[in-house]
Amino acid sequence: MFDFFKKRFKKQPDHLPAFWATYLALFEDRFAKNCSFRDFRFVVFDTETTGFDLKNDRVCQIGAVAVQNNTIQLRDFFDTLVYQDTGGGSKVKEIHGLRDKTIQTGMDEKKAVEAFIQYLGNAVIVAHHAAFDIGMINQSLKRHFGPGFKLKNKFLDTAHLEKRLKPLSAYAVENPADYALDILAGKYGIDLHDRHTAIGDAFITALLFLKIVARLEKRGVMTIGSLIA
Amino acid sequence: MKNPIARRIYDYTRNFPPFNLMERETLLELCESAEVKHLSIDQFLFKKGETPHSKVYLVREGALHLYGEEGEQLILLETHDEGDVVGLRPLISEDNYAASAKAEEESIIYAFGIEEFEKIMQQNAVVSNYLLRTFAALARSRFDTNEKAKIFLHHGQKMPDDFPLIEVQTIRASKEPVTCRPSDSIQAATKLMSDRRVGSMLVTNPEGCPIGIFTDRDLRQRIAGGAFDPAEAVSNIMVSPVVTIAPEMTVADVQILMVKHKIHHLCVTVDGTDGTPVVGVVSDHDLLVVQANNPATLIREIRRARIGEQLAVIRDKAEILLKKYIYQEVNIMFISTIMSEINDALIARANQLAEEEMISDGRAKPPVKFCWLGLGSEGRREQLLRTDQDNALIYENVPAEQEESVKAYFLHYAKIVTSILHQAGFAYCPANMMASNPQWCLPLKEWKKNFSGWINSGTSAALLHGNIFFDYRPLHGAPELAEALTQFIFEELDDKTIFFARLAKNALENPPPLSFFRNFVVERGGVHKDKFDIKSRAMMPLADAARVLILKNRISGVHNTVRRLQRMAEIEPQNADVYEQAADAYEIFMRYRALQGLKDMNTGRYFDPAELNKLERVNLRNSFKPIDEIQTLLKVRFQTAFLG
Repeated sequence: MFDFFKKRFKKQPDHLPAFWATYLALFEDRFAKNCSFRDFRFVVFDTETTGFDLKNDRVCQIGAVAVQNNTIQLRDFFDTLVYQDTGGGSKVKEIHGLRDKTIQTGMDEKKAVEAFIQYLGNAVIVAHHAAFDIGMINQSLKRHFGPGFKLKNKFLDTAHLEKRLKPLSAYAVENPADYALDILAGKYGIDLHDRHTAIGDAFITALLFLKIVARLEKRGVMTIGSLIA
Repeated sequence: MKNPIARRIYDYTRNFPPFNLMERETLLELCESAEVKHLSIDQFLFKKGETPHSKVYLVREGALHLYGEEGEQLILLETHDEGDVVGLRPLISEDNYAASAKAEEESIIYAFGIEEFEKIMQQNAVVSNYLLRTFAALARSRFDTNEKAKIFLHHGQKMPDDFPLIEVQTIRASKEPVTCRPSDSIQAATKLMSDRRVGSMLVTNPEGCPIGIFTDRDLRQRIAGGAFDPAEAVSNIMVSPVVTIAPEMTVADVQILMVKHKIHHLCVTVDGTDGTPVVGVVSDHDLLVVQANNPATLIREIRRARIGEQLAVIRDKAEILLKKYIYQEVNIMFISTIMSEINDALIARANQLAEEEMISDGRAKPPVKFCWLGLGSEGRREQLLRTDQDNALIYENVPAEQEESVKAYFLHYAKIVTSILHQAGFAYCPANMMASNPQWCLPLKEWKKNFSGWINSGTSAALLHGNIFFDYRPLHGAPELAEALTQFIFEELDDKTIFFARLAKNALENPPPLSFFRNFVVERGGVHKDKFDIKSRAMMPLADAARVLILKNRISGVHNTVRRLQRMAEIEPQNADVYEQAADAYEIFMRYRALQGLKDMNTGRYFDPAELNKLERVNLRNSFKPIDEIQTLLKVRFQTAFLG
């Protein structure tokens, strides 16, 4: 078992940080793709960042809430500010409204990411335009722990799930703006107050996720495998 | 660590009871532990019989319907939409869910932990009172009911019960009398009479006061007499002076004047003298119409009727009378007294006709004494409109060797009676609760055995029978047989605490028919889908409650639910309010049922609440409150909670 473990993660240092070893152990079992997705824990998350550049910008807030059995579990949440030395020049503070001063009170990034990994466990990640948020977390992991440290979780993108609800013909003329979180929230009747805090957006995304998934379920998408496909 | 999302839940939740009764910090804390559930259309939140969830639910978006079951049928109990609380049961009792909650639309539900909720209830009496009360019945303020007279919007006009039937019945003069001037020609006057299709013409002076009258009859005599010129002035042939009467006339007044003056028309004037203007004419035909529709005449006609079809016609006339009474808002107790007198006479007549038929068929007179019993609403003297027959027959005990032949005699007899009643418009009872059923055509000793079985077994079938049969009333034959049975029942009931508890519990089966906040509870499916069932949802709970109470007090001979409740108010002055309000409510239900029945030409049992106007809805809804009160009283008094 240990050999297999070493071989598979040979790029990583021999002395894995304890939280990471625990995290990896959660993925040893084969992913049960034929099980009902209702049995899985989903973590719907969102990040606020200093900008949209995956290489140079930094995470300054992580917010998440868990969903299980089509229910948002408010108790199972994650909400952390991340300290960044923004040099007073955050480009997107107009969007998320996090003042530099607020960011100064945040947790050390390394600790914050570690805490998030612990919270995440082997849940299936859900995010709106997931690639960006996952990319930000992976970039942070790599910077603090080295190459090979990246999220192992399966993930779902609510924008992509929404596309699956559309007939094929609609793809041809689609406009990316149609899949913005605000637009979709409006379409599904979800209130938008306190947008642009990470956890606020995560909650909106979670509601969106419940509604989209219910529609996919009606079309016969029952297993976690078919949901992720 | 505080969860910022909880604040969102809080912002919504705090607008609705019982959350608006909680302190800010308490509610915020409760929201921290909330769950947000999504339900697709037709998905169940919980199902009847399921063990209670550890949650209380608030509808955030969408709508839920609560369903009960009646046999195979789903019955819609309540509709809950945004801001409504659902699934309080686990808070109050450990029973399984009594109904199923299903999403009628895509819904978002907030779920709050029971434990957290219980903690709040312990600390906050306002919240716990609110929840207990809401769970017990419907959200309402007890303070509303303090001034009882105000909760019902219109009481029927009270009339004394010894209201003489025919003599004071008012009659209507024909509106807009046809008049002419004395100088008009006979031709012009008769043309007007024929155009307006009237049989009489009043001749008036310029002030509109009557100076003469002439009628078809006068005209015919004139033509027959030969000397007749159409151009002649009306004044030459009119009869003068005119017999006048004031508008507030009764049948008796009119009759006396017509007989005294040997005339067929009376002129109605403002003050009853010929010095004031004409307001109408009363003819002997008008009198006939009124008399044909008065209870005394109807009962006389019933006694003379020879066949069922005749009875049907007479009963139709009684319905016209009923309509008039209802629309004039005559006191409902007066109306039900009249209608049950008519029904009683009709049933007695059906019995007499059956006896005659038996004899003409070559059979003997009844071999022993017997008594025909009316059951259910007829037994309670509450039948305004014709509903299904519910009846039974008791006969004297006979020696074993005669039993078979005597029973056969009475069964045949009952078959004739029920078929006459059927012809008269009283449908056969679908549950066959009729004297023609061998089960319900029995000697006294068998009846005693039945009642003692029902009283001691306590099965639901026994209670159902009990409910129907305890309201029996002798309608024909030897009432002493019914009295002997009643005597026996009261002896049997002595110390039967458990039976009373069961009967009381049975009376609680139908809770007040309002959903949590506003909607009427309507039928879920079947032919009466979306209709309100006033009989089983509003009237039966009160009738059942009144029966238990009156039986417990060993009072016989009081059958009517309103009278029973009034009697209870006398016996227990400390609860007089509850009983009187319940009695008033019952009257209102009877009136609405009759109104709807007359309108829809049926028994009036089911109607669409949407057809009611706002005032009627409020009035009916207020009348549901006493159901809750009297049910609470039954629960406490008969300790129904201790029954499984």
